[in-house]
Amino acid sequence: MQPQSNKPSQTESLRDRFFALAASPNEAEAQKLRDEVNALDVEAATRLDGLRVSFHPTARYKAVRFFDASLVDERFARPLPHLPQLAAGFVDPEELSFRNFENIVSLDGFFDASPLALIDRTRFGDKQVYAFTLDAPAPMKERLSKLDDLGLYVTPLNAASRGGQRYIFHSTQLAQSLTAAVKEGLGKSLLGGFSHVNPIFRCNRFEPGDEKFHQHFDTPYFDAGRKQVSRYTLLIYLTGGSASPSLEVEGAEVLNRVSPFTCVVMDQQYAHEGQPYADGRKVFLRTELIFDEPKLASDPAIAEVFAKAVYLTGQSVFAPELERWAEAAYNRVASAHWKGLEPATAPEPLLHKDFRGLQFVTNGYDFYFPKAAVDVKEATALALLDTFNVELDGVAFRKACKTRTLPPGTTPTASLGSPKDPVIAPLDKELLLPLAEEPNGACCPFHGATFHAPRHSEVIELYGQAQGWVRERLTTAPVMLMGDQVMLDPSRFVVDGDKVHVLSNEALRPVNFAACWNYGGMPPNYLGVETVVKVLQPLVPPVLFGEEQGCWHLRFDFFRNAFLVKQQTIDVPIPVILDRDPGDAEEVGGEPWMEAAGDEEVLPAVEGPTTHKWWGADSRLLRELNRH
Amino acid sequence: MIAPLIDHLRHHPDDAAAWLVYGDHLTGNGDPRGELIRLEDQRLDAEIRALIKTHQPAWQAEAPAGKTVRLEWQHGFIVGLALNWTELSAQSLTTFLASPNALHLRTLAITGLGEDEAGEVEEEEDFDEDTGMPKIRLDPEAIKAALTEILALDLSRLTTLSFAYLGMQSVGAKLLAKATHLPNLRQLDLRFNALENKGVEALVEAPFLPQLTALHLQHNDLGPPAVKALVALSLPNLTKLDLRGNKLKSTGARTLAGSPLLSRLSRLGLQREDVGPAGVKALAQSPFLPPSLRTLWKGLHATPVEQAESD
Repeated sequence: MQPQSNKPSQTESLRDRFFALAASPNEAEAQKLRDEVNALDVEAATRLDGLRVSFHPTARYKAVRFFDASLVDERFARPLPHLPQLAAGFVDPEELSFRNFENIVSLDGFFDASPLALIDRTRFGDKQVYAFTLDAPAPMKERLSKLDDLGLYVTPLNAASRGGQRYIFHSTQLAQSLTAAVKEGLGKSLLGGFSHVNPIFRCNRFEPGDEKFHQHFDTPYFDAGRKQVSRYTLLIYLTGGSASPSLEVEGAEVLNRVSPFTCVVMDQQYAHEGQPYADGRKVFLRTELIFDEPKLASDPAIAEVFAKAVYLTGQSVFAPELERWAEAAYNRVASAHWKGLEPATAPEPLLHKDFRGLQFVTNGYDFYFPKAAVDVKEATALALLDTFNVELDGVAFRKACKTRTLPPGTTPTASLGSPKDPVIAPLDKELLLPLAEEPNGACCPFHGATFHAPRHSEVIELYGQAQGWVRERLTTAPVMLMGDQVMLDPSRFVVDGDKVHVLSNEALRPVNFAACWNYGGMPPNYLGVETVVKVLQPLVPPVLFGEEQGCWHLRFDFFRNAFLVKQQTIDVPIPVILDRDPGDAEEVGGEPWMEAAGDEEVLPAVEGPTTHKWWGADSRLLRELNRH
Repeated sequence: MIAPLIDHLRHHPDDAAAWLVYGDHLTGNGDPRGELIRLEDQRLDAEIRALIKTHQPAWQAEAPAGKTVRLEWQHGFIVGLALNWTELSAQSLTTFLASPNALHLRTLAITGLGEDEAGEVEEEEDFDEDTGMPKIRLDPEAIKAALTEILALDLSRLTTLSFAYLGMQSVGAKLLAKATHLPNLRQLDLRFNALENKGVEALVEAPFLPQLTALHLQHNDLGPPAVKALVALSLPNLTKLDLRGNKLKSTGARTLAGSPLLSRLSRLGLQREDVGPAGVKALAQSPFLPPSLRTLWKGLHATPVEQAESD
């Protein structure tokens, strides 16, 4: 037996060195590591939340994300001594979309139910800005202070406009304790309709000399569905220090010298900015006080600017010049809730994209496609791919596009090119589901001299059930992908006046095989996989459209009325009866389609312990197949 | 005068308006099927059931009977007939075809030609060298005799003819190729017939082949020469071609991919196992496939799976 080597592989070494450098920075070593990482082009190890994730850094997978450690194998580092439940991986920043570009780390369980109190209230002038001291038991203060040492900081996407580092975490317990403290400490006059403290916290760290956090508005929490909105920002300073000023609101200094565990509650209608401390590290938490607002209504104009800001933040991975505009757009949205929407001070950026020869222009809200190249349904499908940054054969859609920022004032409809070959085509789903043959009455490979898998009744029955299983997943799909090919089902795009509705989903008796199959395997040995179709299931509100100078002008009003916009992609294996020699079926075995259909992405969470194969007697797949 | 309408209905059996016009003609001639057409148009189920109960014995008086016989009806006419040839005499079918009740017969499916499909399999040559399974072969003389009788019938009214699952071999295809009286035939089903390349090479000489809109050739013993013979022929109306379960290999796929025949197809029955990876690639790159089929083959090319082989 060959002795096992304890020496880490190259990729494990990169992983370990990365996290060692994160704990103890060394620029020379970091540069060496960067050079090695940039030369490494290998595929990701797994997929989580729709993202490919590598356990080590590569030229492509560079952005650190933290995941629930139970979801990944032991190759993924658990680099946080205080949080062994979190594993770290690396993602491709170009794959991110608005659904997942924030890594919200779960710290539920990190805090206990210790009572908190806001004491020593101070008001600043006549503004709705108040300072408190957070009174907490020593162990709770220790936990709060430890937030800075957890190693969770990741560089924000819009790093150019915000100095320092930050991470985002979720803690129900901390939010509940703070909710009780706010109710007690802030006073009833300010709390009409107060619901709770947002359990999403941003932990910010600034070192002396870091760029200041430019004047900005905090983007309010806004949920038109639940009729809730935030009115106040809550800041909790975890470290003390001095700056000129530490916090400035509407141009007036509010805090200069800050003591640890100072809290500030501030009306979100105020623009504000902060300087790093001159004499030490500045660490603070930010969240919001959320209020019930029964008459809350969304403003389409604000939703439009917000949609653009969100999109351009994501696009800033490709075009850093967009960061400034996105930051300004967030501020316009934030202030608009209090002062109405003010006009943009800089020309709105437009992106010109080329997808396999099809050119279109967008800002994340408006999409312009040439009518000569696509119909409105195809345009909608392509805009969905861009919005959700859907992966095509391993490449994110936005990465597959050649993108450039148009000069200010460019007419969006001007000279959009068309491809030689269509980039998207309708798919007749029945092409993937040909009818089975008629059974020939043979008993089984053991007894029947006339056994022929494509004509055997039990193989045909299983094939029919597999087709039913596939049909249920395919029939509701508006967009399908096979490799890098994009296909749509026009019947799932319903044009109604000036809207396109994208329809989506929100859809085999026990299979008792004859006991006499003593030879030639069993029916599942004869069911293969012809191909795998990726099925997109977007849940989106209607897309508005019109015609403008030879173009389709689509408007993706996805942030209006807080629609629960989401998208999921599932893999659907297409069955085929294998015209297989029973001898091979006996010797080689294999149940390709059954195994493929049982993939976790298709059938997550098979309940309960099982000693059988996942598709054994009482498996979830067979229960589902039996319905068809 | 009425013949053009009957011909129209033969090729457009779902044209409800045309059937109503024809129904008036029938009623004018005292045929109760005119009334049936009217009632079915109005979906008057009770009246329909009563009328059928009264007249159906007369409507199927000359129709063949037997345990293998299956009839398909439309508006009181037999429009489809499936039967095992061994159970019937040619005379009984001749009588039926000559009767007014068979005026609208469109489909004939022969479901059996011989007695014992399993037969005796003892010698090495009786086993398929690829699958190891027994070859099922009927006696060529029996096939010739049966097909000669069938093709001697007046089948000129048929739009669909099926010899599926018969194992009639190339000898059957050669006989079929000589049929000169199938002017209305549009769909031909020859699946699972142990046809070899020479069978298709003979079949392309058939005068009715250019009329076809659908041709089923799946699960025969066809290879690249059969494809070559098919694409050499002008098949201007063909929209459905099924070649699954044949060993076309990449050579056959390339031949197919280079043929304008593909441009008119809405259905192409082929699996990656039939043509191998190089064949899939050739079809994915075919300039003749219509967009929907081309996207599908491009997708198949872009998503290789493990069990694909056979090149």
